[in-house]
Amino acid sequence: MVGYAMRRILGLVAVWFIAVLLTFIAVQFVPGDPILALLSDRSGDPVLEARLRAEYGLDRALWVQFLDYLGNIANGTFGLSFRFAGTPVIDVIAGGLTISPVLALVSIAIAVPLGVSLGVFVAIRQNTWADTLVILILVAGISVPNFAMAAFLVYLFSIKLGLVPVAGWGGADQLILPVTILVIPPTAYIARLTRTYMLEVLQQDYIRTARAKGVRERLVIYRHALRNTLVPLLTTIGIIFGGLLSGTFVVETIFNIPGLGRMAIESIFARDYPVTMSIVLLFTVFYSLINLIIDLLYAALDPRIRLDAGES
Amino acid sequence: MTARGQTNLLTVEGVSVSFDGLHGPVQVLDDINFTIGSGEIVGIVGESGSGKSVTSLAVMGLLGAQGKIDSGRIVLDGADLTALTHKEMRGVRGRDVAMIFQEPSTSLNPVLPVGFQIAEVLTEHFDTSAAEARKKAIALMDRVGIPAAGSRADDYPHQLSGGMKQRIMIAMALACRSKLLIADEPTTALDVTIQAQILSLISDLRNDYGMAVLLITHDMGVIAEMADRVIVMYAGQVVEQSPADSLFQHPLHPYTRLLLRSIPSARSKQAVLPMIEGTTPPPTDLPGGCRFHPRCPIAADLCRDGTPSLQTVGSNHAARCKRLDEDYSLLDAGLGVAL
Repeated sequence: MVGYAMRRILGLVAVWFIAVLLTFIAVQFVPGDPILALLSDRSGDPVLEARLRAEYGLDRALWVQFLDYLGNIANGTFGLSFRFAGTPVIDVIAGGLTISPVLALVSIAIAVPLGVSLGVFVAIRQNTWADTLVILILVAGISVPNFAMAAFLVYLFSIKLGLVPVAGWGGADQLILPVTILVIPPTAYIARLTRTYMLEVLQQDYIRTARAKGVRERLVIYRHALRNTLVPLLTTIGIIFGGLLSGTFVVETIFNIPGLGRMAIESIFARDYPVTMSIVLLFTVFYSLINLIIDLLYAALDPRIRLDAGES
Repeated sequence: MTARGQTNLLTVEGVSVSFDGLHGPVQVLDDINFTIGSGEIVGIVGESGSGKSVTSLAVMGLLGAQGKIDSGRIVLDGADLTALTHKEMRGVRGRDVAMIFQEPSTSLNPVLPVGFQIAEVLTEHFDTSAAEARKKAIALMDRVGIPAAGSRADDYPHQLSGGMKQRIMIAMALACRSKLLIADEPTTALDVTIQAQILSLISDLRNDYGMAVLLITHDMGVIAEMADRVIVMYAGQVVEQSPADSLFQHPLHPYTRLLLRSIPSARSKQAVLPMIEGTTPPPTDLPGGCRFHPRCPIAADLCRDGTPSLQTVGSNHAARCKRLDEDYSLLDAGLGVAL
């Protein structure tokens, strides 16, 4: 297991390098000159322009700029921000560094147990009115885009009912709406998948065996069926997590939360490429680490999956 | 009329079962009657769709949400199982009646260790601690011939061979010393040498513990080797019932006679194995009269109208055929068999 994890992390380093390379190349194709934008009304001052270009290393050959960027990642500064002239990127994003990952992790920590419980609840009531009703709500939860849901929930709970703040960050009450909006789509998705997988597992021969042994129905569901349901579900949780991360971009912007997602949007509008690149890179690292953890969890859930090659 | 025991352990009395179909209920078992004495091995034979598996599931109370016992009683050791609540029936399953299935590979839960799956039978039915149940599970694995049972108890099903997995299933069935074992095609998925081992294990257990066995198979060879008494089923009905030796010596029903003809024999000179033309009719489209008449080589006009009843011939041999009283040799000429 440890050997497998080490090999996977080496593989991830390669993935991260490609991510750095791709974002670096992408930025080269973006129209507009950041230095001219930085100069704004003082453009036409060739001395200042040349000094800034030298400071940001933009006067050097492209491959040298790339090596500089790698060096800046290695020393942890991630280069200098364009928008906040002379400030290292890390200082710009430091405040939001943990907010988006924590939002995403909290949301998935709520969505998985909630979605799985809902899925099991409807699976064992297949084709009853409860099943139909819950499925209907779940489809709505998947279909309504998060910005529309946000507008509706803010209008209802903040403006009309005055129960929770409209936006902001810092208080526990300010977490309720953004987390709710992040949690609803993955919960609905996980619940639908759990229902499907559970119904399939309940048809299996080993479930009939468990019943033939006289195992209590509760244990047939939770001991014999659920774990077999979680194995295929795990794959999709990695993908769902990606959706959740991009969801933080929208939710942080709507609720004015100073996380990486909102910073990414702001830096894109401000042509602050070093910040944008760094946030993209951080999200890549975070997403790939989550998927590594999911792959390791597979082996814990399904004894047929062997992570260390060699034995058979 | 039991061969071994004195008392009837299981009495299936006039049981009819139907399943919900697209166009209303479909009857799949029609008035099934048979008994099993304690320690007796009773075989049920028939093609796919004859109702033999449904019969066993009805005894287990495992017909599912779609299946229903419309009439009849299933009495096990004096208790009518059809009158029990779901909860009471759960207490019977695995403790008083145990069941093993055709596919040992898919019948064991892939994510639970095999020792645990055996121990679970004990913890579910008795006030047994997990440690105690595990010890007993290892002893049971040892009893059914699994080498190094102590270390194999922590293995998962995929680490065992098909034959070993069926032994695990048998160990589960043995855990509560059930009075009745239902074995639904227990050897069909196994290769021939393993088949013989599993069958001899089942008959050892019968001899050692007096466990009665309801053996469901489509293999007349298995029946010949194992069964004390045989029930032949066709299209949801019992068509013949008799002690095994009597069935093999004097099969009465044309269907049984054709089934016996299709057993391959080492001495036989036939190049092509004889078969029975046609297929079992689906329960939604049963022919009128005798249900076998469209496939029966000797069907006469009288077979087309009126369902034949199960008639007893001699002391303990019964068959559902209208031409039972006619001359055997003439019928055999029509069937193309010499028995």
